[in-house]
Amino acid sequence: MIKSFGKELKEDFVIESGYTCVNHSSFGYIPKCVLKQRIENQLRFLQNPDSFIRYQIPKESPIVRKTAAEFLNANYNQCFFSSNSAESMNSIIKNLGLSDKDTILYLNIAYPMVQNVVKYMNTNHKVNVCRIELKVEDLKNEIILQQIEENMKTKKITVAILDNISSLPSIKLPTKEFVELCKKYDVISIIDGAHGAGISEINLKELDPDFFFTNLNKWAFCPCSVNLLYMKEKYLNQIHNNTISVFYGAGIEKEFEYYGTRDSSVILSVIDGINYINQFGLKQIIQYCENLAWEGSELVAKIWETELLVKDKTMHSAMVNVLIPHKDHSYILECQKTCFEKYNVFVVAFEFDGRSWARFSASLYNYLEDYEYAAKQFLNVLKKEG
Amino acid sequence: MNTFGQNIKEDFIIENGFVCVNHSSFGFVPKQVFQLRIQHYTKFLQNPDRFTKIDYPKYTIEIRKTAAEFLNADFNQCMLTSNSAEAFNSIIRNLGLTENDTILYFSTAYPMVQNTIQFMTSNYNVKQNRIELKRQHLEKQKILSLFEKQLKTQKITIAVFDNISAQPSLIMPIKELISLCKKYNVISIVDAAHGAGITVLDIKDLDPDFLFTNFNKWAFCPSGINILYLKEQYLNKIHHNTISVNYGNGLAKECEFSGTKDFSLSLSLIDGVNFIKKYGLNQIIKYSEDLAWEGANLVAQIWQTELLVNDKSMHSAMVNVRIPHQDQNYCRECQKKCFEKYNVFLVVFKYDDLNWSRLSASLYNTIADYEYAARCYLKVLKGEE
Repeated sequence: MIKSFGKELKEDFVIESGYTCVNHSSFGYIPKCVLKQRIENQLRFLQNPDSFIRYQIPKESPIVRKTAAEFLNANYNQCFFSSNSAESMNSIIKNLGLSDKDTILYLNIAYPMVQNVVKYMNTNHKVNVCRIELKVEDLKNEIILQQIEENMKTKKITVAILDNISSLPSIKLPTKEFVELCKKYDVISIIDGAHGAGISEINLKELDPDFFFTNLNKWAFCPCSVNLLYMKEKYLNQIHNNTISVFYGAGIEKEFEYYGTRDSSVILSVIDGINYINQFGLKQIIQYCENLAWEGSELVAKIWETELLVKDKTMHSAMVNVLIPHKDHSYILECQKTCFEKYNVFVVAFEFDGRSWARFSASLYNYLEDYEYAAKQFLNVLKKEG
Repeated sequence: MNTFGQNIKEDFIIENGFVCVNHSSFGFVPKQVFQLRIQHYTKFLQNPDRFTKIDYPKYTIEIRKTAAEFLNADFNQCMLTSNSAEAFNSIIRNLGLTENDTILYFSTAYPMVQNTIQFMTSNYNVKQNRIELKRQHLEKQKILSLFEKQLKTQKITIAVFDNISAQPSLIMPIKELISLCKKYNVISIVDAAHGAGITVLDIKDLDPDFLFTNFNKWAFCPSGINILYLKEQYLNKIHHNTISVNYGNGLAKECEFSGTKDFSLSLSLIDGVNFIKKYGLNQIIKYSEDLAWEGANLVAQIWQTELLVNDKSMHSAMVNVRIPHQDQNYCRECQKKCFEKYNVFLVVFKYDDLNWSRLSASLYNTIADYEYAARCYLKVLKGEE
């Protein structure tokens, strides 16, 4: 008997008792059944690591990669597991042979890790950068694409990076059109799909980017953290794992299978997470989460008497941004802390285009009251009434 | 010592019926450490926002302080990484090395180290200087003499050497090697992957430029926890090898967060160190070293072969015994068969044209383990299984 989403499902998840979670997206929360299996896998590894690392992982890793690849409609021999998006992004960018003759294009709303990697390439390898500045009014597909194309037309861009779904602020980006533009102007496309698997319907064969990486722990119910790195075949001999280790030069598959002692048993949970999704159906999950994130955020905006950052529902996944009714961001961060300690709810707060915004996420165990609670308590603290 | 051996084996997470004579590759953890690990892990998963934003910044200080005290170093100079590969990559790739620089290392250096050096050569034209250690060189004075010769006659920028090498496994004279580096103005990097928990490491006394050590090999932590130590002068130069959100905020912050991961794992460092303190580091080292020596000698007797090096003082809790067979591939096949059939894994490697096995010892081992390992492997070698 499958439980329905919302309150009923919450007890199936590993969530601190009494905690109101409106930020599923940063790290992800997992079902109890996934944790149970994870601990068993970990025990199996620890009981006989020689067996596990030397014999079992080489056998099981391709199977897990196949499951994940199938989930994203890609070839498994182009898919590899890393620990996180940072490892994937570092592995890509540092191995493209970029120099002062190259230019990287990215948006101002790119995740800080991506921006830092670009900065590193600029500082250490003199790679040129082209940063597109988006303001609130620019957060529309047509404008974003137009700005990207304008830059690709007028400058010689080597590599372009785009989020699948951005973090702060969080909106869906037009990845399909982006990849087409990259092909048109002969630009290498990298899609930061950190927010991707489990909350987007990803079809890599159709999308056909040069590179794509996605976390399995944010939305695909895998414990923190596992990342899948996809690349076109032509890069398989060029890209190396950012961490040089014993399998350097033995082929990219080996380089990602083992790159230093770690608990690689975590990748086995990828199958458990995907099975959990398939139990309900990805479409059903996406629909519930997107609708609730929207409804919940509109309720927050009502309670706060403010507004959503972007008023177009189609531009959102299961994360929506709401204007915070205060101008001092330092004060807001203090309130975030107080609200967390006092009311056991963590509200993501960030600055964008001169204002402060909150980001609300929704997953299967969330229900509308979570957002009402978060909104009211945060407001109480803001007004010093809490 | 009654505390160790068969009595303590049930306190460890070891597969039922598995005879472990290779503690050193990955380590095995005590049940109490694992139980605590699950508690930390669950706490992290139940509220990762709280764990990473509020708890973890405090925990990392406590973890680093515990490690620093254990290694007698300044905690401000001790960083948390996942493993030796991360630590070494972070060091070597941030020293600004060019074609004007030379890295000196021994032929017995771990493959990860050799590959990273090769990477520096391929990508940045950094020069390499490799000291071939053959069997006849495996003596403290000869090692030091070969090392000093290179420092004297070549312009060396950096020297990398093991605290205890992996294959073959021997204690390296790191105190003297570090002194030589200082004498010739060479940056010293100590690969102490085998270190914490099986060596009394006193970093203040040793005073290397860099040192990294695993806590999951011999300090009873689950994989993978590593501490990177560096002199103060490098704190503003070295970056974590994975550029992430804390890039530029100082190495400590970069190591604290270099991408999402299981942030609860490193808490086990404290639990592992507590386990060691319970029994005493010196007692643990003595038991493990003595047993590895006794066990390896028994293996050599059963195989009618010999130890690679006959000087006990050059060994930690890992000893190398010659395998009575010339064909490396065959030895490896037998390793697999022996594992599948007799549930015992022997480390097998080629060195100086001969095949060797490395036997390790930890608290839960007894002499019977080595007898079993020796006899089973011999059976498989002879095709008698």
